Amino acid sequence: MVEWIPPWLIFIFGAAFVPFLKGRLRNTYLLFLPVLAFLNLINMPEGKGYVMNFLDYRLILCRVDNLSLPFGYIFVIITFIIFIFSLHLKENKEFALGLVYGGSATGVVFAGDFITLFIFWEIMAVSATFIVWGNKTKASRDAGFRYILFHLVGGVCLLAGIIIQVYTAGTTEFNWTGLNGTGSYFILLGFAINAAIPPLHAWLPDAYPEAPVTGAGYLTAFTTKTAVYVLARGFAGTEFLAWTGAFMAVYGIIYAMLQDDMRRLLSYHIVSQVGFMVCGIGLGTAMAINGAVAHAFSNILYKTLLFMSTGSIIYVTGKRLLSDLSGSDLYKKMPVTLVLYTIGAFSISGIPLMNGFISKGMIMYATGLQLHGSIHLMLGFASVGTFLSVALKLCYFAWFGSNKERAVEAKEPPINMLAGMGFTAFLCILIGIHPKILYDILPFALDYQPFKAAKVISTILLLSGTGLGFMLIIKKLSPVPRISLDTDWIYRKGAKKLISIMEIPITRLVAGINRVVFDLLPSSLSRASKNPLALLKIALGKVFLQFAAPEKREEIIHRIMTEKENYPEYTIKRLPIGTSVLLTVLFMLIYLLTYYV
Amino acid sequence: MSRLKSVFSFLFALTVSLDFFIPGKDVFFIWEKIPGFNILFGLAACIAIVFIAKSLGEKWLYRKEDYYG
Repeated sequence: MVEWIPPWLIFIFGAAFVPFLKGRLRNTYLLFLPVLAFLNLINMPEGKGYVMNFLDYRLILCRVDNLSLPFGYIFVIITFIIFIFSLHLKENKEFALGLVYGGSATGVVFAGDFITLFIFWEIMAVSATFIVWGNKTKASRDAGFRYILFHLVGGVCLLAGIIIQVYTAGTTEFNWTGLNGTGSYFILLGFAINAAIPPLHAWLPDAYPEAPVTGAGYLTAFTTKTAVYVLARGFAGTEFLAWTGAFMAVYGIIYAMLQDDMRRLLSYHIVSQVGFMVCGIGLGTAMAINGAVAHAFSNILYKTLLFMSTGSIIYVTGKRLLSDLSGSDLYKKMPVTLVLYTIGAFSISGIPLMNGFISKGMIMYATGLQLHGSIHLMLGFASVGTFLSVALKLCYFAWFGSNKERAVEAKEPPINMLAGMGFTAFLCILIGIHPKILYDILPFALDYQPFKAAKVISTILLLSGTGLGFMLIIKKLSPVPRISLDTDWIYRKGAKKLISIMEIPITRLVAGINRVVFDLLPSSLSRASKNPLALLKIALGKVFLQFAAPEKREEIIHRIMTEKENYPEYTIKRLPIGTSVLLTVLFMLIYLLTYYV
Repeated sequence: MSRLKSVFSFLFALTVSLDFFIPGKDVFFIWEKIPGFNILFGLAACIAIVFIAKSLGEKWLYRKEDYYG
């Protein structure tokens, strides 16, 4: 009897039946699948399973170890949560896509070789694009196209890297690669696109806010976190990534401050939070890798919670901009959603007793252990920014706000949405107060005390300082209805400008060639052929002019001028044809005479 | 509201003073020895972030919402 099957098989195979189900049966089936997948995960023994040969290559469909399992768990849990959150949907399409997307993400984390990984990687990109398109607006269609183009470029980079790597290393197995050789650079580039490392991040804040309220949950959970997994597997300890991650963390929070769209603001916080993880991976110690994995786990929970609760506002009010919501007193109309949002916001800010506190603390602690002062400060700076914009700014302007004349119709979202968010909030707090659940599944054994009194106090102080600053400059923070330029400008506007810049010289060149080859050259040739003798005379005259005595110059110039004026008429007197005949006869006579003599 | 404020100020003062006395701090960097450093860092970082972001936005990055058409 088969004791376990690859976890992605349950999702991808299960997705095939979703379109044929309806009503309560569909809902039961949808909730049953992740539960089944979870039971299957618990049953999976560590090691390599489902190894097969394909065209001389060894494919490892399932590699189960301490690094892939935590990602597997959270992917299955989050699929379950988003299913609860979207049970009110009538259409089945998004569920099927979610299963394929979640299944392929799980496939990536359990893939033991590059070929399997690449196949799931591409399925992931395509299914995510269809989820973005689910919103059926022009904006979502355009954003989806940009999303798929960006990810196909990433996929091609990855494929190129894999081919070079497999050729040079001689094995398809996906293990620690590190930065050595061309292949690894291409692979890192492919991974970096999915990890949204600036300047390759613009697809994320571009596409995620355009996705449907329910579908955005899948997007926040899978793509960037699989990238974190593959980076942790292949590039742990690459110092370049530590600095990149710290930069990402700061970049994300600065851009988040500029946003007016709630979910775009949160999208920039994904960039920032993934920065923490990438930084941990770059540091590469056991503590740092543990921190990165734990943070990915926590991040999936609270970020999905944040997307779900802001999504609920959009679902109920139809408004997505803070400048449209500020002052509409939603806290009176949606108090439960507000509480759930606040739990998510406190988690992402790393407030004690929330899951963000224990996982972010590990990465900060790891930077301390390695005495990376500047990275430590950059991450601290990013923590301040996270608390400032998610827990204070977004919360204040979406639920409270100062503009009191605004009336927005609102009520609590459907019960299944509340249940989905409630369960996530419960998990955030559960892990926050009982971190051992999370610590037990991390890749390395852990020696870390999250709840030291001094640490709790210093965190509270950091956040109270931020709160103080917020109160001082709250007026500066009012949302403005603006969008901000980011690197997507390069392909949304810059490409058009580049084309027009390139067009001008090219069209000029082509027109020039046209004029010379098809116009000037033939006409001057035809003109020259009318009287080549006169031209020769003019040319000779010019040569003579150079060497002529001064008194003769006048005369030569005059001759040239006459030739030019009369061209193409002949200036010299023409001899009658008889002269030519006479000359010919004379010539032949001389010839005849010499022949005889 | 004023009551809430006084409660908060009290808690705030309490945590600041606790920061001076509680032992067992992980000290990796020199600035972590300064008591109450984090509150200043939080305040300064908060103001810096808003200042940097807003000036970047106003001088360079902000565009009208229909900029991309």
